[in-house]
Amino acid sequence: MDFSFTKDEELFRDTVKEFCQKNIAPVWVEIDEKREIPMDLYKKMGQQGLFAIPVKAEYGGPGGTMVLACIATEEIAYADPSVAVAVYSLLCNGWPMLLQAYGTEEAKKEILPHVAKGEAFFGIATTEPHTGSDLASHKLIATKDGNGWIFNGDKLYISGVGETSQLPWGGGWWLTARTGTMEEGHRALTAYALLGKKDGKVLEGYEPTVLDEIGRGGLTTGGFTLKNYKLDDKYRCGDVNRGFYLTMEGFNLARTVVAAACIGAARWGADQAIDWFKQRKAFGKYIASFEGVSFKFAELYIKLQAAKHFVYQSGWLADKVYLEKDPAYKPVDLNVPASMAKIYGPEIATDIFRETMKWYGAYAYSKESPLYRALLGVFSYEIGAEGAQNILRYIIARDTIGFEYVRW
Amino acid sequence: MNKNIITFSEDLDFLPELIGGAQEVASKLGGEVLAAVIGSEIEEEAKRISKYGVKVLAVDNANLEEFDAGRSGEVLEQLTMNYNPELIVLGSTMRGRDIAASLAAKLGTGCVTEVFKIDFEPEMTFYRSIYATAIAREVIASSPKVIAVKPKTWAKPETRGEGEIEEVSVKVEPSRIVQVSVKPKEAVAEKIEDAEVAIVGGKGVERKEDLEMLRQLAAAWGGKVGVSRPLAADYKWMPEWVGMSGVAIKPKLYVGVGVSGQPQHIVGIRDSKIVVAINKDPKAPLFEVADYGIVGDLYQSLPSLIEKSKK
Amino acid sequence: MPDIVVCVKQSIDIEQLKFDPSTRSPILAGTPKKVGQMDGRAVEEALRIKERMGGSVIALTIGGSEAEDVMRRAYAMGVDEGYMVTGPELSDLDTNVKIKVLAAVMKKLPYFDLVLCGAASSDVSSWQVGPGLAELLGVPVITSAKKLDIEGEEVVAECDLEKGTYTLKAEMPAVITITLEINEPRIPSLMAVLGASRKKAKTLTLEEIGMAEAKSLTKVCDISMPEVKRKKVIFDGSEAEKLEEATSKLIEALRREGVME
Repeated sequence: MDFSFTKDEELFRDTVKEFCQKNIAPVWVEIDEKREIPMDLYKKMGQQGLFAIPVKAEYGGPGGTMVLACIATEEIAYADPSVAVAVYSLLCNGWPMLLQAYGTEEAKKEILPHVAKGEAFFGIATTEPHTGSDLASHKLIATKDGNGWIFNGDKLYISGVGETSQLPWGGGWWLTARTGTMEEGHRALTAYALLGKKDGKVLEGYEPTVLDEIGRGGLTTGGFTLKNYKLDDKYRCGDVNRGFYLTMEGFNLARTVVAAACIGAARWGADQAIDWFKQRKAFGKYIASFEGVSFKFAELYIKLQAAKHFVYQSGWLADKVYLEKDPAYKPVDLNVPASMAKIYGPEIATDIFRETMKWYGAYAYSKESPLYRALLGVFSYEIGAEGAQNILRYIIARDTIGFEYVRW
Repeated sequence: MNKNIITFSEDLDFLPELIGGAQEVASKLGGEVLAAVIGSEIEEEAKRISKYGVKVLAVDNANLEEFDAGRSGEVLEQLTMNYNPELIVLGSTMRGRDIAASLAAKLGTGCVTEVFKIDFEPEMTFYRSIYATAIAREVIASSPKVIAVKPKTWAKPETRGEGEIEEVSVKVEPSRIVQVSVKPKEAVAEKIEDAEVAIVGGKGVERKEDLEMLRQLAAAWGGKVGVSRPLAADYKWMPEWVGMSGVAIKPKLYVGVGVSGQPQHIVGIRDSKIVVAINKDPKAPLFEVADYGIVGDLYQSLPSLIEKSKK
Repeated sequence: MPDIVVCVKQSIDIEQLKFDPSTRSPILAGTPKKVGQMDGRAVEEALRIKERMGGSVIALTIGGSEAEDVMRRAYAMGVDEGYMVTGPELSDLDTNVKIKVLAAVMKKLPYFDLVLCGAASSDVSSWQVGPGLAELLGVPVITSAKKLDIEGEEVVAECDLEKGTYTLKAEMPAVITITLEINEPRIPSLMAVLGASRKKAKTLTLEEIGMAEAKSLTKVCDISMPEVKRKKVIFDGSEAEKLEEATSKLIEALRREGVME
């Protein structure tokens, strides 16, 4: 068992750190305050090879791995603990990896090169106003129409709506729509690479709105209504009515990089705590000499390391399944590791920020301190973005105890 | 090998310091001090140097008109062959270091540059900076020893009569370096090395115009203004900077304004009597080596300090 | 189409170097090393010349186990070939011997027009490698270049010396040493990092270059951090209300110290 990163991975981490220290760390607070990521940053990150990392060169990607995507996301989040930039990049790493696995050649060749260059966004659109966790109860409908499909319905709480409008090429999402009856539930969903804006033009029937959120201000969240929106069949991903299963695989990939973002931000939080311990005294002693403080830090440190292991184990497995296509590993093998990573990552991140803010005391409550920005950023994942924590617990219970004994 | 010492600097204003220092070394260890004056038409220069009571080895050759570190090294090598010194002391200027390294490579001997102190027990030991802020003590096992000594390590001696001038002819090819042009450094109106109080700006100072605020503080406190390396070398707000490879200062009061305090800067201000840091980043390394500091915005702190100093 | 050899090595990252408070000596073990600031700029400058004029860039390093990392970074930046001399004995060799090792390797290389290296390493800073190497190669040297151009058979460099900025010219082959202000080195992209892993530097032993018997000519007896006892009295001026108090206290303190009227 080799727990070390390869030389490539170490060099890549160093270069990402250098890039982030130069281009992201100096401006992350401003990004959060102004609630926007500068346009030229997307281009620079694209040139650096930080998007669509697991996508092969034939589709315009850097030809990297999920592990490398986790490294990039972790370091970007360390430089931007509000995680806005990190979330943009993790979505544009995880979901393109799924599109590469199950999209048509045409769709891949059309969309992925622009995502890699930082000209187009590609994320996930499953949530609707009435359902997040209960994916099977989608109401957005896709009806077959000649060589394509017509979509009607809404998606809500979707990241990247604003970015899709602003980026030069545009972008879209891996989206699930109902292609059968409500009674058929999850067996009647089909997956698509649905574009909001393509080649610089907003598509007809796509009506986006942006929401106002409490954190992660640099990245937009919003929704869109599709009104008789037309999409060619070449954008369908996988077989009709098989969408649910493919999307679940995609969530395993996305949750891995989500956790990577959380541990990056958490690591930054831990470093802020250590900096504080080296400066602050109370009652004549350094505050970490009080075991109530130091022991708490030690516990948080343990959990942070555990979360890191979950991230990279899940990333490693993803590469085995999707890139190496090693027959010893199947997509479902990712269910538990990815769920563990996505439960632990956000929770340790919010824990670290909450405790660190307590150690800083009143200063952390003022806006002079940027800690609150990081807390609100990672909190979105504890609230349930990219997978409600309890759904992930259900997945772990189901896969370890057995579906028969946990079904409701 | 005798105990003779050959001294040399391409900068004849610096050479007397090296002569003085070598004379101190020779007084401890015995041996004669020789000073090499190398160039084209150097009669006057040789006479000037001989007034420090040393024997001058005057190497006058038209091929030595233009500077070429390798050629100077070759000349010194020939002098070394002829006079067999144990120690060769060069000046640790930018060109002096080049000549020292060149000479040492030619002689196949060891060389220590940037020397600022010499000890003699148990053997001749040379002190030089390392890791920016630390001090290394080094010995040279081979012979002769080649060293390059920093300016102001030794005091300039008084002149004391006329030493002998020996004209030495050498074989040397012409310089391979052509000096296309020289743009002299802007005369620094007030040299920061001489300041009792130094107000030094760092990257926290956003615009060149803001140095005016530092000047006002300097005026109020009887001091002079300097800058850290990036502000001089990259932004060109001033011709020189304070720090390693720049100017080292020893004021009674140093105030770093928006200076983070990297080791390369710290080594230039280390001998200040009192160090003050003003920076809005509480983690700036300068606070670690400061006597007093303000964690705060320099754009508010300086006006406040200037105001209060008027009373 | 100049053929350029760049000498590059890692230095101790002095910003992360800690000192043992009791012995005052540096804690070198475990301190990260990285390519020296001037060395990195030498590689960058060589690559920029190649981008303008064609030709080739060879990276040359000597060192211990970190030599491979240096080569990997150099390949990721875009050099064509790499040579490394490695071995545990190398970490014990002093600067003067390392210069001899570099010269010995250069004899195994094909023809070169320019040799670039950092004017000084970021840790030891002896400023010797460029001029020493030039002497052993029998070529001219220009040090501390902040701008570099090739015009025909000549190299033109702009250097900030004590008295001013000198523009100097020499016929190639020549050694030029590079200073901080010349450029900002590129950060290799992921594509470049992955491309670099397919490349392998040529390894040479001291024996192969006839330097097996090499011994250091100088020796560092000890390294210590001078005693600096500073008071570290820091006033909090981070908020408007506190600032006035902080500046008053500072002025009081400086008056007490006798450095201010």
